[in-house]
Amino acid sequence: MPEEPVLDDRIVDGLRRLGDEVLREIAHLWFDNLEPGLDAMRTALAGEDRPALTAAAHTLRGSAANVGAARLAAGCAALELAAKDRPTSDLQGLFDAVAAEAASAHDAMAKVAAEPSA
Amino acid sequence: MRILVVDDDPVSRRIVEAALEQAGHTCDSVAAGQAAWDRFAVDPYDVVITDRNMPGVGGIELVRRIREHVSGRRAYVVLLTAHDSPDEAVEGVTVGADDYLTKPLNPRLLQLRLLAAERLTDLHTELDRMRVSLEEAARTDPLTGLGNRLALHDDLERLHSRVQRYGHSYCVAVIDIDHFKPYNDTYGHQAGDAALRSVAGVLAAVRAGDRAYRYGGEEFVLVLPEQTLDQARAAVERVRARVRELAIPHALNEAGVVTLSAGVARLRQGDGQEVDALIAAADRALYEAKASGRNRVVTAREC
Repeated sequence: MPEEPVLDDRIVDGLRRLGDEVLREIAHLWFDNLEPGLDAMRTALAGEDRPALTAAAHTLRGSAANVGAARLAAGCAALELAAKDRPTSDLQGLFDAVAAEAASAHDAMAKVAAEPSA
Repeated sequence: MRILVVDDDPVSRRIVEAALEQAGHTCDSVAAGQAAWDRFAVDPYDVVITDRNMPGVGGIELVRRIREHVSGRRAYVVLLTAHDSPDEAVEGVTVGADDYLTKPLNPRLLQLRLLAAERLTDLHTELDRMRVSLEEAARTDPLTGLGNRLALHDDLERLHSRVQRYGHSYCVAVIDIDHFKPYNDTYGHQAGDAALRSVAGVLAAVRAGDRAYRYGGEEFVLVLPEQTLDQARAAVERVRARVRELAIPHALNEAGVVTLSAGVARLRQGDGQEVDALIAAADRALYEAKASGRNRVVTAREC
């Protein structure tokens, strides 16, 4: 199965049709919520609070999907599913992957938001 | 169109807002189903765009409450669901959502839903207007513009339950144009209609709070709340005098002009007297007025 792109162009293009200004605003709103979302996962992992981890992964997955951060959304989906019954050690690995994807998605989105529309 | 956006995810909420703004709409937006319901219950919206999955009151519960809410308007509801779950959409539309959109949101598709919402909202506005005007027409006598028998019945039932509850009373007068059939036969139906309209004009000019109705052919009813029998009698007496002053020629009537006879009755307090019995009492007094020479007002004896 081919890996999801960091950013799904179709969704980003859809947002861009709302205007460059709106795209920038939405990107920054997403950035503002990204770190608190990751923090919520870290806290849940540290406390082995699986319901909280599931909820945090679900929330981040939804907002990542909304801005087209497809690979991050997929990583969150995997973590959300795993949080139900997989060993804690697995969860840490999945979370590390999510955090790395979040950084890539953030950079890619920052770049896209800075570009004026063609 | 008043639009409410409900989503716990600020990014998603902002996307919906921006799509609405681009389509020329403004909206209110809230982050929770309960907050949405608190607003809707007080002042319903034309359109509600709500996320399905929210903590607390979720989208499904919100749709259910909106549909159970009795308000004049029917809100157009769009449910936002997960893209991989057709079951969510089916459930949403089954409980009452008009349409759904999957996340991640395509702003163009949201704008498309708004076109449909706008059409439906316009249709509802038109229907509301027609319903009001049909209701009004159904309660109005087309010839005289007075309330008709249906309006009388509804208004009396309402007044009746109010006065019974507060221990007040009211009077009704049944009023009939004297020798109206010979008038029609002599002067023709158009003249008859004109006479009915003239009499109705006098009746309609009673004091605010009293109301006149066309009861049947040449028969009218006047409802006089918060009046004693003497006060009501005096009011009806003034109506009788004014109609006589109209001086509408009527060769076959004793007075030579169109005159009225009337019977007035007052609700007897505390004995559960029904509306029909009250009208019947006024009608008997009217009969007495007719029998004792017409062009007069007779009051029913209170038992």
